[in-house]
Parts: sequence; C-alpha cells; structure tokens
Amino acid sequence: MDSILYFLIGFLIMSGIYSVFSVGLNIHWGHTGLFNIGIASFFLLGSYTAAIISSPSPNIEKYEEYLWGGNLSQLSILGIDFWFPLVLILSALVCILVAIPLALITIRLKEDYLALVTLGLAETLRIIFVNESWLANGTRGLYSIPRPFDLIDRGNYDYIYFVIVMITLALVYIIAQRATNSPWGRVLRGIKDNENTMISSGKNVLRFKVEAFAFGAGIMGVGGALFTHGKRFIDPITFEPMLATFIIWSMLMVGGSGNNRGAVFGAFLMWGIWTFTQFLPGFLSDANLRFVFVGLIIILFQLYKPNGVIPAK
Amino acid sequence: MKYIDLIFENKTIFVLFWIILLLSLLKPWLFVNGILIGSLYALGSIGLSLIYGNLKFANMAHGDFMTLSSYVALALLLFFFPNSDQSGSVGPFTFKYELLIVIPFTVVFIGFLAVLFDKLIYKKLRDFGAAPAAIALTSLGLAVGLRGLIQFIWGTDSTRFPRESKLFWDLPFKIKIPPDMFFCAIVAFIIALTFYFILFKTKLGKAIRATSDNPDLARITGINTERIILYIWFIGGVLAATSGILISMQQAIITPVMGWKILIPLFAAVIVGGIGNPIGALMGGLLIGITGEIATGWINPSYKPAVYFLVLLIILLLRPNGILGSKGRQF
Amino acid sequence: MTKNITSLKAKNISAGYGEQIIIRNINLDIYESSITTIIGPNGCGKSTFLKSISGIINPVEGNIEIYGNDVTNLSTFELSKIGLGYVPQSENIFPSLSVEDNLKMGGYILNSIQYKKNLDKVLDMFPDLKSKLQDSSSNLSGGQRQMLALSRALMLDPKIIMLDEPTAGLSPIIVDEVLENIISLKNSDLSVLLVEQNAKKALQVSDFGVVFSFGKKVIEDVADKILKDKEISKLYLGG
Repeated sequence: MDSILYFLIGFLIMSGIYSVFSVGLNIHWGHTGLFNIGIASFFLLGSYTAAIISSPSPNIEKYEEYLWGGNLSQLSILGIDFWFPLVLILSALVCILVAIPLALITIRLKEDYLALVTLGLAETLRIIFVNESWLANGTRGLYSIPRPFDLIDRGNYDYIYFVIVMITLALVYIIAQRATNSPWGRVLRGIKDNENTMISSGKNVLRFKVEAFAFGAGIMGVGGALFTHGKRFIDPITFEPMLATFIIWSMLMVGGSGNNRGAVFGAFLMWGIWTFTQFLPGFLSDANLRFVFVGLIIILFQLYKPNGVIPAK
Repeated sequence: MKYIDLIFENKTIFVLFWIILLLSLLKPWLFVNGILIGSLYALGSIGLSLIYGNLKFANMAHGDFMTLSSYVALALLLFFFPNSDQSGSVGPFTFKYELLIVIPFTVVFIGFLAVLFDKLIYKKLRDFGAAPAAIALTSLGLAVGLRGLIQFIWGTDSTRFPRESKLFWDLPFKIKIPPDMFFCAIVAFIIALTFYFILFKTKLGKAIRATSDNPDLARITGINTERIILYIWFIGGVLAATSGILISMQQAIITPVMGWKILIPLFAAVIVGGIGNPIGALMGGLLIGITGEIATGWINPSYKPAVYFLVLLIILLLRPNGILGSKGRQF
Repeated sequence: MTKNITSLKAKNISAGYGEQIIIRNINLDIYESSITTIIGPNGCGKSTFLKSISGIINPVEGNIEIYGNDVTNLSTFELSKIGLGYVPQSENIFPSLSVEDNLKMGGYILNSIQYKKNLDKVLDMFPDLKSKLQDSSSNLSGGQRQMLALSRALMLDPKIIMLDEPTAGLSPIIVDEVLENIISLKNSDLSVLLVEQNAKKALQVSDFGVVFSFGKKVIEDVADKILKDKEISKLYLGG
C-alpha cells in the first residue's frame, strides 16, 4: 500500500513539474503564437544551472571531471533553506538571458524561424554538455544534487518535495495568470489573433513578443530547476527531445492552448497516460507506442480540436 | 540606405566566402568531403525547400520521412533478398546490387505515403486556413509519430544495409574518398538535375512554380492546384526518400534519429539558398556540407551540428532571405 | 442598346472574408457581346463581388448561373474551364515565369494544337508581346503587364471575362489603349464585366453601368444614362 502511495506521489511530482513547462509553453504558443520546439533548451539550461550552482565543487577523493559547483545549498538563513527560491530565480534568469537574443534574431523574421533556432539550440546545448565535461561532468552527469528543505527522514522526502512542487506550481500559475490577464497579456492575445491590427494601433509588437518569449523561457527554467532537485541526477540524455519537448507539446494540445488551467490539466492527463500505459499487457506497454501516441495527440488535436478540451474563454 | 545595406551584406558574404576558400586550401581533403556530403544535404534540402516554398510551412516531418525510407528499403531488401548478405557487391562499392533494385520501389512508396498524409492531414488544415506555424506543429506531430512507429517496428538500435568493406580511393593532397560517397554524390547530382529539368522545362514544373507564385491566380487560369499540391508532395517525398537512403548508404548506418538530427543542416541549407529556390537549396546544401566538414579540421567533429546551428544563426542575422534570395514574392 | 442573351446571372449574392460580410444581396445580369462596368468608391465591394463570382471566395448566400447553368458550387479552376475568364487587379501574372510560360499557364488545360491556335490569336491581338515571349514577366512595364494578364485570360477563349481595374496605375495614353482592347473584345460573343476607378472613361466604352455603395448595388442602368445623370456624376464620377 505504502509503495503505491509513494509511486503516486512520484507521479504527482512529475506531473507538477511538467505543468510548469506546459504553462511556460502556453505563454509562448497559447498566448502569443510563438512556435518553440526547443523546450529542451530551457529545460536543460534551467536544470544545469540549478544543479551547478547548488552542488558543491568536487573534492579530491571523489574524482569528478567538472570544475566548479556553487555550493549554494550551504546557504541558510535562520535554518531555513532560502537558497532554493534563489536557485529557482537564477535558473529562470539564465533562460531569460539566453532567450532574449534568440528572440531578437528570429522574431522579426518568419514565425517558423523561431522553431528552427530553438530546435538547433537544444541540440547544440546538449552537445556542449556532452563534450565539455569540465562544465558539468559530461555524459557521467551530475548526481547527489542537494535536496531543499531536507527536514524529515530520507525515505519519506518525496512528500516534502511534492509540497514544494505544488507551491512552486501555484506561484508560477498565479504569476502566469496575472500576466496573461493584464493589459500586457491582452496585447499578446491581440498579436496572436491579428498582428497587423496591433501594429497599426501603435504597439511595438516585436518588443511584446520578445518579452513573452523571455517570460515563457523563464518559467521553463523554473521547471528545469524543479526537475533537477526532484530527480537529483541529470545528464545530457535527460534532455532528449521526446521527454523534454514533444510530450510538453502534447500536454498543451490536450489541455487547450491559450488557457493556463488547460495547460496544467493537460500536463497531469498526458503524464498520467505516459506513466500508466507502462502497466499495459504485452506490446502495448512498448515505450515507442507512447511516441506514436504523443505524435497522434498533436496531430488529432490540431485537426479536430485546436483549442483542446478546456478551451480558453 | 538600401545601397549601404547591400554593400555591407555583400561584404560579409565576400569575407565568409574567402574564409571558407582559404580554409579549404589548407585542408583540401575536407573540402572534397564537404562537397560529397553536401550533395546529399542538397538533395534533402531541395525537397524541403520545395514544400516550404509551395505550401508555406516548415515541414518538420521531412527528416523522419528520410529515416523511414531507409528502414523501408532495408526491410524490402531483407524480405525479397534474404541472401543479399552473401551476394557480391557492386564494383568498387560496398553495397549489394539488390539494394539498387529495392530503392526505386521504396522511393515511389514514400512518395505516395507523402501524398496520403496530405490527404489525411494537410488538406484539412489548408481547408480551414490554418496558420503556417499550426501546420508546422502538426508536421512535428507526424515526425514524432513516425519516429515512434519506426522504433516500434525496427527497434531503437542502429542498423545498416548489408555491405562488404572496400578500399578508399587515394587521391593526391591527402584526399581519400570512400567509393560509396562518390557514388551517392553522383546520384544526388543526377537527381537534382532531373528535378531542375522537371521544374523549369516541363508543363507540370511550370504549373508548380505558378502555384507557388500565386495559388489563386493559378486556379483562375484553370490549374487544379489541389492536384498540383499532390504532385509537390510526391516529388518532395521522392527527394526525401532518395536522400535518406543515400545518406544511410554513405554513412553505413541507419538510426531512428538520423532524420531528426539532419533537420538543422537541411533547414540551414534551405534558408541559405532562399526558401522555394531549388538552385539555392542545392548551393546551400553544398555550402553547409563544406562548412561542416572544414570545421572538423580545427574543432571537435562532434560539434558539427553546432556549426550547422551557427551557420543558421549567421544567415538569419545577415541575410534572412538567403544568399540567392527566394524567388518571386518574398514572404 | 438591346439586351442580348444573359450570359452571367448573379442572384442575391452575399460574400466577404471570414465573419466579415462585405457585399450583401447583389443581383446582377450581364449580357452577351456587351460591356458592363461596376463603379463605386473604394471598399464598396466591387473586387469582392468579382472574387465571389470566380470562386476565390465562396459566397455565403446566393446563386451564380452561366448561360442558365448553376455554377455556384464549382471551384475556381472548373469555372475557368467552362468559360469564365478573370483578371484580378494586382498580382495578375506569374512573376517567376517568362512571358511565354505565363501564356502557357493560361492555356494549361488545352492540348498542344489548341494551345498553338489560341496563342497565335492572342499574339495577333497583342503584337507587342510577340517580341518579349522569352523575357521574364517581372521585367514588363505596367501596361505590358496588363496586356499579358489579359492575354493570359484570353488563352482559354472565355465566354465571359471579368476585369478588375485593368487601368489602375497606368499612364493616360496606356489607359486608352487598354480600353480599346477591351472594346475589341466584345466584338466576338464575349461578355465583359469591368470594375473601374477610371469611372468616366470606362462608362464611355461600356453598354451598361452599375454603381456599388457600401456593399450594395444602388444603381443599374444603361451606361450613357449614368454618365449624363448629374447626381450620380457628383457622387461617384468626381463631378
């Protein structure tokens, strides 16, 4: 019984983390119409930033190839882990700093150029982290990444992390909701519906799009950091496009783009399907069929229900 | 102002051109390799450019079509010629003659498959006027689904066509050419030329270009543009399939992710050459191939995809409409 | 001016783009061997009307008949096969094709014998194009462009031809030349439906005139009468 509960908590943690990505992608695609197929780039950047700055530098007995760790997890004020929110913010910041120049280069051009550039960036970053082992231990990956709020015994830590994920998700959700319902968010929707009207009404469309791209990328950075401290092990293979990009697209498609509630719902639903289909009998549990399923979800929702099951109001 | 821009742009291209030329003189064998590999990229990007230029969206499934065609060719080969492992290979090349028999069937099959996907998916999106990004997203779904299907049927491990090891050709200046690479490059150029002939000298090709210029006007002149689009998909599928199989032959490996990984150099080539411009895509493919190979002379070869990405970024910064410019209307 | 056989009959046409309806309940007949000109201020739906007839946009209601046959549901390329020619206002040639290839596309559905016959006929009508057949069509002057667009439409021997502002942006001398060409068209059995900004000049060569305003047909009469009507002159012909 306990093991089932523990499995469920693990499932909810991952669903919560994916919800953060889905909300971030929703800022890009659902609210602004920016086509980002390199979610993995920001996933990776957020994850590695969090891992590197929170882990200690490798010591002499334990031979590791990487040079530097920020050891931020030693920082605590009055016994409270203030370092963790700091890690989330810094991870978001790194993603934002990478997102802005990319957006500036591509957004003035055709809309699908952004997709090509994000795709290329994801692959490039992965290669860099594979080859530059001084940066983050190469293919061996970073492990034993510190746990925030490590208060109770190790065996039950997931319950605490579940609470951390849910609180972070709630904060991200509220910020996204506030932003998209603000005048700023209304301009974004206007851009998505009819860019020319927005240009002729004197809005600096390019600026709004760059801001939206940076904002969404920042949220994805938070998601990456959450992932890192939940899994406590990351290596370049973690950021293969299937689980770091495609599945997040299917989540947003199912839930309904343009609607933050739908984005969260879609993340839980798709991660549920992804997780529980492995218990199907025989070939049905084949992981590759789940690929097919994710692809079909994207196609079918685009064809028959482009607004998802919870359409925007 | 316009002229200053022009000089600036020409200057950068001028400088880049000389850098590449200088580097290739230092290591000419890389330059030759670049041309041979670039010709395969060219073939893939011509098909991609054709679809991008005519149907106005970035087809993310193009690479997975290439992958699929390699697997289909291999499956046909193993099914119809189970003993092809034992049979001799063709002349100085590593592949068996049976492979040459199954290639045309595979290529035609993939062409019709592309047509089928248009009828099932893209036609519907066109009918309700979906935005280019929405169509591209759907093609991404198709790419993911195809890859899953490939891995489900053939597994995630890499494989290869039955082959027999052969000596490389030794040429002066440390140039070593695997005969297969030469064969594939020649076939790629022949197919590219055939495609050029179809597009510019036949009535069908002119109708394709007319449809690309202005679909409404094409309909007004009595061209059934929906049928033209099916031809475009067929040709695009054939080009994808040929380049996919040739790349698998030349690199002696077939993996489920090969098509996805090749998207960036292909799109870079398409954009360098100007979207919808087949000659441009050919030049772009060669340029990307040469740049990638020459870069390996000085940096870690595993960074090749990063070099392609860098070329893509530079092009988007300096000449977003491509070096040759896209034909007809700009988007 | 006698009214001949009705060639094109538009019944109760409403059309627009997406949700936005631009023209409402338009009825219009045009007749064999005659020129009908639609005039009206910018944005009154003249071009939209032509587009809805040609099937570029689908009318939300109404019927279209050509020589008594209902063609409302035919697609654009089928309409061109049964004799409806259409020259849109701008972007009416294929700029990446040569002049000859533009004409070849005009005769796309013809076999090679018919194509040659029609090509000769069209080139007789527009001898200027003869020397430019191999040129890129994007290098043509404005007047030549219109001629090419018109000849392209004539390649299929249409029974009805719709011209959307064929004189827009041309110098006065060329305008007269284009209008002469249009007059010569009606000498065969062709019916011409013309949309024009050069309202006065167009009405002078027309048999019938129609005035559109705010998406509705407000006046329909013999062209001469419209030209002489002082009120219409003031409102729509610029005094």
